[in-house]
Amino acid sequence: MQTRIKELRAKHNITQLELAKLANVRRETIVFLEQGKYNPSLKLAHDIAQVFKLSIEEVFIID
Amino acid sequence: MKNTKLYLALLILGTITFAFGLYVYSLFDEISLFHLIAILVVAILVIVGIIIGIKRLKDEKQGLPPEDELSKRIKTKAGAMAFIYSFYVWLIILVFTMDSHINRIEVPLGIGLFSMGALYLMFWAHYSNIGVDDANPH
Repeated sequence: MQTRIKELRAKHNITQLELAKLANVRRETIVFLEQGKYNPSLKLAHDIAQVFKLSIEEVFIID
Repeated sequence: MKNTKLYLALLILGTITFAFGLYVYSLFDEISLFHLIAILVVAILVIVGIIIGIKRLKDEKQGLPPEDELSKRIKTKAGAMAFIYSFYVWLIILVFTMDSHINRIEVPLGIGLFSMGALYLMFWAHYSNIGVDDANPH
């Protein structure tokens, strides 16, 4: 699963650490999400999408 | 409360290290290669535990949780893989000790337990590096 997290972070000027704090996860989780090495739970996907005020489908692209 | 747990964990690790150091000192006259290897392994495990504990403390000070869904999934997957492969380890130990003249049962038991721990650490390090993508397992 691909994500637009890196692009959205740059657009909103948020670091990985800041996003991790906002989503209440570890920074490594954000790194793995950006690299497509981890499929988040529905709750985490929702929490991250909420940070960017977007829907889940706009942040996560299912192959 | 979470900080207290981490400090307690570090204190316990320090106590184990100190106790082990006393034990090693008492062996000084009769120390062998096996003892040296055991000392080295314990020292490595304690150092790794302390490093991980310090990192967790730093993360907590930055406002990050000590665990999240990914770290829990990595632990679960590493535990499951270590459990499966440990069957083969015990089988190998059984084959090698069946007709051997090992008088002390704690030697193969110690090797087996150490191997199980080592397997878990290996798988934990592996999945911490490559991530957990259950949708596309390769």
